[in-house]
Amino acid sequence: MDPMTFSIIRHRLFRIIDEAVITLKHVSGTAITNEGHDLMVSLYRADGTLLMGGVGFLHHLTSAAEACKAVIRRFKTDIHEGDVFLLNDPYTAALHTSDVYLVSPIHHAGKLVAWSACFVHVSDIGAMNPGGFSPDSRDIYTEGFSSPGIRLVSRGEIQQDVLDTILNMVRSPEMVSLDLRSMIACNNVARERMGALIAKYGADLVDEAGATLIEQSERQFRARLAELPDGSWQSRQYIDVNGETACVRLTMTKTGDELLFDFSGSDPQSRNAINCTKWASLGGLFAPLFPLLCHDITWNEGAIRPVKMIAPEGTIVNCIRPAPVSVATVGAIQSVNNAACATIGKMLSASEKYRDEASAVWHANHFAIFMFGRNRKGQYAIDILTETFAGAGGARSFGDGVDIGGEMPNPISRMANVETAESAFPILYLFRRRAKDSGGPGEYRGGTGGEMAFVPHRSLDGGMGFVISGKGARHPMSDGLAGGYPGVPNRYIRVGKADTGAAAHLTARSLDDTAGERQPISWGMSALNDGEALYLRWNGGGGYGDPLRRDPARVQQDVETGQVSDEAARDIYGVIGDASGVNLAATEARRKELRKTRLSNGVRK
Amino acid sequence: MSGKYTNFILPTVAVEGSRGAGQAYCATCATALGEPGAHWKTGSVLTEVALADIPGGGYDTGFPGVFLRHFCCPNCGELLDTETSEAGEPALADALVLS
Repeated sequence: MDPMTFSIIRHRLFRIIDEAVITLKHVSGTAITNEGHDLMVSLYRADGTLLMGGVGFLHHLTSAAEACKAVIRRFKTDIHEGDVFLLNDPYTAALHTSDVYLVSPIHHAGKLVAWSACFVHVSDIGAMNPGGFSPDSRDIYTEGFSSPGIRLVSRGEIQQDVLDTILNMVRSPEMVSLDLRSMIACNNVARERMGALIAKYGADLVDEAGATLIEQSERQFRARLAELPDGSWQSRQYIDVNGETACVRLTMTKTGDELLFDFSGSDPQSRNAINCTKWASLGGLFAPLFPLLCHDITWNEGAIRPVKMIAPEGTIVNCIRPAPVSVATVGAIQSVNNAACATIGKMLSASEKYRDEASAVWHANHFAIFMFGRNRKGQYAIDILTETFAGAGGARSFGDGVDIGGEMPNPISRMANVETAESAFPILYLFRRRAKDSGGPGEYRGGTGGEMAFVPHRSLDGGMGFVISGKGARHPMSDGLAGGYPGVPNRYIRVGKADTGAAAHLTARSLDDTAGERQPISWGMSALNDGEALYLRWNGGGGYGDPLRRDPARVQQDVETGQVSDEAARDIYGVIGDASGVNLAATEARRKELRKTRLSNGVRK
Repeated sequence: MSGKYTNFILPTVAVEGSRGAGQAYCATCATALGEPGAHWKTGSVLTEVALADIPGGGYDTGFPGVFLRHFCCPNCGELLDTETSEAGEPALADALVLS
């Protein structure tokens, strides 16, 4: 087809998604959507295959394609212009019940020509724990409302009985209603803009452009793979929650122009809700693959075709119904994402041509903390602490990871202002900042993560409730690359009341300033009562290269800005300095000593 | 790092040879890592450090049993690779397929 027309249509498809994303986040009223950007919008062809992947959480691009296909299978010829279908069953396509998909057929002249699909993490889904992450669940039946496909809008009319039934099962019906309506608005915008595009260029030409885009992506991706070395690279990711340790194990093999992700050897499915389904694993591995290997290639079905996955049934990465999966998005899915990021990073680093596109693993332990309870106005409030979206970048072969630099699987993730959380809940932040020593040491340092603490403040009920989940706090997860260290593990501490009174923590500017009993807490539903404090530290990115190769001046600068401790500077980086600067002779001697120690203390394999 | 190699498993580990008999080398000092055909980590020096003992204190979770493995060149002491591991876990085995 005419290359100019092809390019115009391609860019229009990008812009349609952009406008739909703007609509989604501006209509939704929840911090998780319009501040954290825990959302996704994409376009799909008439058969449900991915046409144009959008931004937001990339884990969903392939799963939403499966959602479209599931709706096609279920409703067959009973799909009409103006319909909107809701799907959130993880064993059909979704990642977990609280990530609700709304998929809308797009018709032209009475014929189904495409689909738009979007998701947000609704503020509640009626699971046994508030907020949609339900760490106490032991099966899918206790994880809230779950639909393998239901018509929410019929020919442009909301099915009020369906909507009311859903809202009757959730804790914050007003906010969930707004979430659902924001997705309907988003799909309406996508449908209208697609309609305008087709009206201008014709359905056949737009469809031909879509088919060409997919063919182009497959050709470009296969060509890139063919340039990379053949080999296999391995990674492992631990999860440690509720007294149980599980491991996701990956061998990624690249042969010619194809990639195989083999999760054989991963642990059996867990009694805890950290498991994920096979669709979720597929989404998990594509989330780092798209930005790392296809940053200049359109994310669509063509980029999916060269990739195969083995995920043995009954394991933590392909669990069998009714295994619990409520925490999957911060559990096994993210472990799959991290493992894939690590192996892709190794493969890229093995190529002199592509080495500068390799990355150590980014912020790898995405915690989930949902606060719930009455706000200062006496209304029930429930939402996530968005700091987990702030992330940290992995180091590269030429530079440090970005401090508080976001997340690999969500190019638009971010955290809300402190004031947003303080206005939503009766809490007061004591501090929020970059966390010392949190970025993985290396010739290039992993981006630093953050630390924060808050206390209940002017609460009507003597405090707030919170639900915490994730992958635990015992293991580093942001793997380093080429000798770089991983970012430090997460840390969650509930600090008890101090003997000096309920207001004792208000002047604390660090965890060390707090006086109460410290209780590590990483899983389940808890209370944060007046006089107590909650401290959180999230992991930095992985480092790249031997820390003894880092420019001493940059280490000294990190010490001066509070990102690296004196001890780490001396004993990991081998840099000796003080306020007047680096002592180069002492540094050279210290580095020589540390290299010697490595050999004398180590075991010859 | 050395510019004499064209095949790498990682930026720090080069390999030469043919299928089944590749020889790995430290990319910094060209020291052979293990026997031809054997995995390069068998020719490295391994130090397994408990998280609590990593300087700076940021890695100390208060729980024993998790380690950071350091694989170093036996000659120059270059840190070639790291792994987070629980005790007894086999080493990760990255490998090139040579033509």
